[in-house]
Amino acid sequence: MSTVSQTKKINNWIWLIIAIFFAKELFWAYLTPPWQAPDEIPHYGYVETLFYEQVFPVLGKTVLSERVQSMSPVETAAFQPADPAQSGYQPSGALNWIAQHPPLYYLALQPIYAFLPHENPLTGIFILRIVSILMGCVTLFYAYKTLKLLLPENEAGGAGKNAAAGAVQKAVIVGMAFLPMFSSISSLVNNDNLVFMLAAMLIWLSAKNFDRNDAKGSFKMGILLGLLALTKGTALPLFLSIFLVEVIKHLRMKKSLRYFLTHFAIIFGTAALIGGWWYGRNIALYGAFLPEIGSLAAENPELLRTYPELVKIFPEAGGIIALPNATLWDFFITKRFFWEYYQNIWGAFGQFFFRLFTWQYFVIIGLTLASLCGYLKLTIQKSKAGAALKNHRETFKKILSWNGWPMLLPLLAVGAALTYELFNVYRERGFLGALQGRYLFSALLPFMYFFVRGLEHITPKKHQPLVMKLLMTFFVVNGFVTLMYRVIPEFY
Amino acid sequence: MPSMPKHHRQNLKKITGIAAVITVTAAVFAFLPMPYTLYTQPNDGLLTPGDMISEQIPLEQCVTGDFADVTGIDLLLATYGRTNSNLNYVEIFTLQNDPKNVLFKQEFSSPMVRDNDFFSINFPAIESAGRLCFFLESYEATPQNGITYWMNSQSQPVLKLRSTKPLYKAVEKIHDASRFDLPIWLVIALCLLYISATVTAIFFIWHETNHVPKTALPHPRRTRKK
Repeated sequence: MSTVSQTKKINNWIWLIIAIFFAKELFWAYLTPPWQAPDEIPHYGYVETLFYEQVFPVLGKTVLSERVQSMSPVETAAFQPADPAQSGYQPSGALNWIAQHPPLYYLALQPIYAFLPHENPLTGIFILRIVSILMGCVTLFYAYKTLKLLLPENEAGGAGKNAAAGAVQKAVIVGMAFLPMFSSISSLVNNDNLVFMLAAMLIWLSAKNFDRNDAKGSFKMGILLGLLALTKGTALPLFLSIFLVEVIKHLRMKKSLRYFLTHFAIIFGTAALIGGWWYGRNIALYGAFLPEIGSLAAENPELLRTYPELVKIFPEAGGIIALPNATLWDFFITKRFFWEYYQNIWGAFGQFFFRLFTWQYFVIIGLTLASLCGYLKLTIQKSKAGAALKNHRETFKKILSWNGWPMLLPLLAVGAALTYELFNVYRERGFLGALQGRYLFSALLPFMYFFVRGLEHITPKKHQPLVMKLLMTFFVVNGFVTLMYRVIPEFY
Repeated sequence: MPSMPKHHRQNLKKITGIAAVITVTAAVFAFLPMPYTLYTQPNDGLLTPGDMISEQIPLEQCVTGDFADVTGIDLLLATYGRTNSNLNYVEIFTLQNDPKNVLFKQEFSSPMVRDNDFFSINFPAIESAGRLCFFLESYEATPQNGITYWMNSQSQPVLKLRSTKPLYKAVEKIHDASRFDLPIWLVIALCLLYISATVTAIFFIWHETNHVPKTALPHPRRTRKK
């Protein structure tokens, strides 16, 4: 059997983990009450608007249907346009506060929505949640394919060369599948799910093309980038990461500048053709490349007159629980839960960490970077060329030859964008509440990969199998305990 | 005694594994204790802070109703945004008949209380028929060192009564409370599927010993010493 065919072979265990993920996500989807998720009401409303009106919604004008509002436990009536007559809807209609999002996710749901019983959104929401679960399954599958590329179990030359690769692959996939925040988002209606899926495919494709001169591959990457741009603004940092991956690829392959520019043009030209029009529309409609509901409200209080008060009362909740009539009760219950599970980066790690707050974000980034530096150092030291590293040119070549760049750069790009956003909001509003953990999940695979590899490298070799097993067990138990003793008591 | 053929051994292993997953799943479903909310004080309208709790102004509240197996009370407390150091005393009692029947008492220090968060008081299961009450006072409370509570629009403290049931009973309650109209058998099936998925994952993690697929091993005949 050739090495190539062995590398391409899909191991059975990934199907088992995907089946386990699907089974557990069904229960998550059932347990999370309808609408008790980040912006699930307006996400569903967006699908409805596209189906019935057949126009893209406009922030500040498009309202939620009476049907969706009536099913919601949230009082949304006060969140309405300053001049309802202009919107052409009933005056009591509440604004769809996520109407600025690009439309791909909602367009993709249209064929399914067409067959749903529209008079009962509860059935519809459950079916659409199952679609999210399927997207989560695809995300896991592409994460696995990426890991197989970077950590082949059977390297050329026979077995045993990279015996720990299988353990690392499993630890990363199990970590992703059982991460409470990923489990939760994957069982809800939210465009983040499509971002995670497309990002996983993009990272796989960029890793696959890292050593190739493949115009077809560049074209596919351009398509994926364009689709990501059409899904959510939080996916845009991946443009930066792909740009940097292409630069490194160019440096290590030593092709001509013309060659590099051609590939660059194929990727970003395709992406711009697919996704660019939406951002042009943003500028034409709102005068901003990325309109944000908070800044719009600050500039035009008449448009969303309740929003500034909301932000003032619930500074940390911000746009997450946009409940103009929220009582303090809503604040204590909903805010804390949402804060831990959808905003706080540590909330991603579930029950055992949920008491930690935003500033620890810097600690985890620091730890990840420290693990990464240790990992890089060890990798270089272990290599045959280690002795030659005193020579700077050799060092540079060695660094360029590292196959982990398609993993590292998305993590850095997304991390940098979130950190920038964090400080930006702190400067404008004076709090550190803008960081939403789930936005990091377009780089979830790299995040988990470096976390596991960092841990692997600081563990003595003879203890590595045991540590990997303990880590995976921790992930599984953590997911179970979080659902049973945190999520269920929250709602029941 | 002849050893068992290899494929029989593998089949036996699979059957044993499946049996183990089923057994553990059933055990978790039957015995895992699940906390759930029995009763929530009405909380409509804006909440307001109550008086500071002290020996002179203790907090006392009764909840009327038949509650089976109450195992805890969650009180929404606040610390005025500071760390307090005094001691508090809580008493749980029933008022079924006229004399006060104290069922549980406990002291806790104020640093344990988180600002604007539920504080849990746990006690052995209580069968409450009639009125279940609690009494909370704070020793040596001063305006600079004391805790308070949040009240609803009817000036009652915000509280929840909790109980703990085995998972199979809690599933019934989840089904009753859920807004998704699925039949109970399907909810039980989802729950069992979830538990068995988790158990299978743990078995899978600890069962695998060799991370290198056997197909990858070099063929013994081709391995020659040079």
